[in-house]
Amino acid sequence: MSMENFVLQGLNDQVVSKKCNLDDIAVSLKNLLDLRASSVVEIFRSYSFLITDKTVCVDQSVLPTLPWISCSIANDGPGDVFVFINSKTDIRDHESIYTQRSNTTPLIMGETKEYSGESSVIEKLYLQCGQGYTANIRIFTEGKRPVKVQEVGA
Amino acid sequence: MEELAYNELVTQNAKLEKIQGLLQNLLDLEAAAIPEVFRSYTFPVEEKTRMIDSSAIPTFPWISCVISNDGDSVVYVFINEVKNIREQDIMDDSLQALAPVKYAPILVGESKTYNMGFSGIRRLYFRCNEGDESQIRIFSAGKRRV
Repeated sequence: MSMENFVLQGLNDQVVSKKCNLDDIAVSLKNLLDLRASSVVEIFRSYSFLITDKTVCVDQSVLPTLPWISCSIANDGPGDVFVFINSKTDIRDHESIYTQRSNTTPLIMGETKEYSGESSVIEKLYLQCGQGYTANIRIFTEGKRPVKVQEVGA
Repeated sequence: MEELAYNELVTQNAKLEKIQGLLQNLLDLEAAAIPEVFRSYTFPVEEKTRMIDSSAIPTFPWISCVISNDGDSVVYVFINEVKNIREQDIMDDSLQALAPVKYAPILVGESKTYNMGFSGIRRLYFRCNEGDESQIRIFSAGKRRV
């Protein structure tokens, strides 16, 4: 191989190598852009529920605006409300049962709690009061528009 | 060999242009969240739904707004739309499964922040319960109109 060809081969390798890096950068930037765009809110809704001691699961079949990016839950009482996001318990939660730790803390009357996923990760809610109690809650939601649909005014 | 290197440079240039476009989109998205104009308004609220948009307040669309209920009764606020057709259909079915599903109001003395992260708040609807009246203050943040 002549010196000229050797240099050109080296240049070519370098260019190919840079191209690969640029591909990686483009993919990373696209992912970053998608991630940033996924946190941009498109629709706001608010709902009011009466919660009893029976667990209520609120999912997309009940509220089609789910999944939500974030939601704010206000407990107007009189009872305390247990709120579970996406799942009631998972395998790891069982550990706390064995160690006698309480893994559920209620939302006390008059309290407002914000749950923010920064992306459309809130897919369902489980809501429940303590035995024999009821509570009124208000949920203010922020989410993405699922499909392009016609808007309906007041 | 030179031709191959040239072709690679052309490809590389195309990749750089793509990256530049993505960076510009990211920059636009970040810039869209930066407010330039801050305003505040007071509105009486009645049982009849009132809609305000850019014809009433020319600073629309807003990036975010804070609505405070100063009146004597609860106020229902809707951003951009009350609901869409898809919700209408499914909400009707769901009423049997989880009744009652109602829209939640802003209570007396309460404030609520709505932040879209871009100039997406195009109109507001607000109303009280039947026979009630209230008053709201709106603090808006938006872009300067071109």
